[in-house]
Amino acid sequence: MSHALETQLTTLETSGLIRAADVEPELEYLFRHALIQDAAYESLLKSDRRVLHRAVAETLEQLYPDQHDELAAVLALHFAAAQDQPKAIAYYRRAAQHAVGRYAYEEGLQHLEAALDLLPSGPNETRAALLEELADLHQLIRNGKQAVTLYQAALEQWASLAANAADSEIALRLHRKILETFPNMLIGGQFEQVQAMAPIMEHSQASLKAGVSKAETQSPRLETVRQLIALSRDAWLTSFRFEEVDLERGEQFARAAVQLAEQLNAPQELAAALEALAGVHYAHNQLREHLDLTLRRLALSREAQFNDLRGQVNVLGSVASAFVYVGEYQQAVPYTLEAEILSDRIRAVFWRVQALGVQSQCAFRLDRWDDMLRIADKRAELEKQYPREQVGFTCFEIGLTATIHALRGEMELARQLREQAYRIMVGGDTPDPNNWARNQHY
Amino acid sequence: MALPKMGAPPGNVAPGADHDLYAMLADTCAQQRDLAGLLKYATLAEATAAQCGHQLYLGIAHRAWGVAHRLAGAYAASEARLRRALEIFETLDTRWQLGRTWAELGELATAQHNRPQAQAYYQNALQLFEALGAQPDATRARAALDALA
Repeated sequence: MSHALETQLTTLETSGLIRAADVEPELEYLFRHALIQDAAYESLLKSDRRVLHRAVAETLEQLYPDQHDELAAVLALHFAAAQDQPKAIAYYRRAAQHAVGRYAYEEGLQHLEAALDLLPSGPNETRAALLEELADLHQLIRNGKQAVTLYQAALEQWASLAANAADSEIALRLHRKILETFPNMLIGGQFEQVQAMAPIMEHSQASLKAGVSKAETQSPRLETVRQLIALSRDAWLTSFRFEEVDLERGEQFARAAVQLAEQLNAPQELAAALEALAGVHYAHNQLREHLDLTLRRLALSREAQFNDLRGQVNVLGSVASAFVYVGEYQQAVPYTLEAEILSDRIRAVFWRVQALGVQSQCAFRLDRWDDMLRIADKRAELEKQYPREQVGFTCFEIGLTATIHALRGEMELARQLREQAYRIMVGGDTPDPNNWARNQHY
Repeated sequence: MALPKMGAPPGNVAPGADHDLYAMLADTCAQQRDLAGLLKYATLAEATAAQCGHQLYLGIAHRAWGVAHRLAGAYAASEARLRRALEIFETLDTRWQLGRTWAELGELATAQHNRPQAQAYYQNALQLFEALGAQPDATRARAALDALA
């Protein structure tokens, strides 16, 4: 630190305007009051502020070349204040990635939204890319409706940028992501929203089917695997909702996806393709085949190159459920416990609740009633903390809990839980028996 | 008395849920002592459980058959089925299922006028129900024991 700077800081400190906040690992000062900071800031000319913000940002960049990810949010703020939009946007995107890497999803959303706000109006590629990144994040936290809206907006951006955008790889990828969103929305109980978005879904289905046919004549690509998986899930899972289930097509798409993923030696995509194929076996009531494929997914997820914790949680949950389907409850329990720990670590609320739900079913079927009630308490706590879209439907587990209380002769408690389960199943405080969640779900 | 054969499963139910549903239906019919319902669903419960090797549901199907045979007066067949159910539930260590199966054996022994055997079976059931805190079942088992006293 220069002598002049040291003197100035000492003056400010002795006059009570700032105080030393830290000495190690770096000397750090804070304003004693936010009002002092505001007054100091407001006293600067705007042009001086821009210069100072840029100086701070560039100094940070130079001083900490290995910490740009950690400092990305601060750098973005300074570059934004310096009116260097390209650098600010780049750092906001980096900050968002870093936040998602730490499972700080809300923070990630804020950074991407801040980046979008900095863009000039009118179509541009960065806006399209940012909209897709924002949609991906909403998809990740199961805000399906918002994700689809943003993917649509991204598609519109690309369409206005290039005449052949509808045929482009990017457009196909966005259509694939749109189609991937609907099964999660259905599982999360957002039936009416899915129904309202049926035209979007149909458009994406048609675009993907055309894209996959075209891809047959091209060299194999991972994106094609992902598109086949999305079409398979759509054929048997999403379409079931609309009574247009086509298991045969679902199986064809899934088998093609497995074959292509094997050819490309891509473990994550292969695991996802096997999940799609397992889903078709489940729909056929071939539950042992479903279990075998799910265990194959588990083996893939244990490989070193399977670098996807969310994917691992998904696989663990699937393995536990697959054991439950064939009545092997004891075998299911360790996987539910592993899934619960891992999903807590990555803040995947839905998967954590799912893991607890499977634990609950195992305890119920094994007549371990005390265990089951303890698990139900844990699940109820999560339900209080998070919205239904993220928690998913829990009517079945609550119904099981009601059963245990009834079997113990605790009839009033059983009645309350039974009604709670029913309200969740039919939706809201004004239950409509025609809106039965189980029918809607399947 | 031989029990009639069952037909094919009715139309499609939800994916992957056939065995869940049939086990529940067969078990409900067993609790209601509904022979027609048992004939309809126990076959389906057994077949779908066997298809994927679901032991708990196989046990439930055996017990349902045990009740069906007893209702039809086929006591030896009933006991054989209930014993098979017991074996499965013992392996799984499912205490409520065990208690319920002992209670069914108690009812079978009662139907055969074998009071000591019935008392022993109901006693087994009662111990399991009390350990679980299954008050309504425990009350029923006590009532059955009182009736035998």
